[in-house]
Amino acid sequence: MEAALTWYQSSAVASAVGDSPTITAVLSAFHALGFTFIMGGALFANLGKLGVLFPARPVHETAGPGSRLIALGLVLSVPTGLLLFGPRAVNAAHNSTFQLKLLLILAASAVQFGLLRRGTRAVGALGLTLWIGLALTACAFILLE
Amino acid sequence: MTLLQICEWLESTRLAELVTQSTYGFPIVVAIHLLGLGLSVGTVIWFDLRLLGRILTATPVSEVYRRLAPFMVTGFMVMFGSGAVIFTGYAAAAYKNPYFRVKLAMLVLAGLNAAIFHVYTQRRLAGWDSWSQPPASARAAGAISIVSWVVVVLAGRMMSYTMF
Repeated sequence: MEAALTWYQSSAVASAVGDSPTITAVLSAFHALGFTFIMGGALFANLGKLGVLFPARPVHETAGPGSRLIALGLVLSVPTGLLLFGPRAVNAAHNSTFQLKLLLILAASAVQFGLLRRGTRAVGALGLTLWIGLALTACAFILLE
Repeated sequence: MTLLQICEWLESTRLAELVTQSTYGFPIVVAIHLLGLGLSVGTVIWFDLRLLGRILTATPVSEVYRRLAPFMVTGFMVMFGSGAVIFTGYAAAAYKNPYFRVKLAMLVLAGLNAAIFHVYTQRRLAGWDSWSQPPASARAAGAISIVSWVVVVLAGRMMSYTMF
């Protein structure tokens, strides 16, 4: 693992990102846009599931579009995040806040795409908690890095 | 007093000092700004998609607005409040930054778009409230809103990497 991280950090891609403030800025901009879509989708889908937003409407009317916006957010933020991770791969991988962030992305995505449509309201509460936890952890990573 | 001088004065205030000099001041306010962004733009997009006739087509537009408004208003208050605090700390640098000007222009466009929608388009809302596909003027307002907020997010992040 350590060797893979060191290889990635010293790769041409990571160097290109690390050496160019413009590339870093563009990647960060699309990473933030992805974050915004994920948060918007998570609130809409899970508050819909909980019956807070549109209690008279079937769950699929909020869960479906919400999950699609989250998927779009992940498509934007995961590749840009991987590229932003490159220049600091070794340090970031050992950062416990970053590790928690990755764990929450996986857990929240599993709940969102695997359980939300069929599950009970408790699944909506769990999903919302995981996505909010991810947002707070992402912010904490900025703070503590 | 020029705009730049006002910005320079802002940077000399105690609030600006708190943002720029304290160890965690700036990252804490940025984190709050990002959370406000997620809540505000992340929920306004759903109202825009309803105006475009893409979601909740069986739910009246007025109900979609009423249910989303508390989240949008809270998010915008957090986002604008924290944004104003960040701006105070780096006002002169922001003033000179081209991405800040793009962001400001898009914020004005989003604000004007919302004002025109509420003053003119929404006045006849009763006539099309339940339509699955709202009229062209409402659909245009939804599209302009989505585009302007996406550019605000992109320019805002670009600016933070090109200001210092």
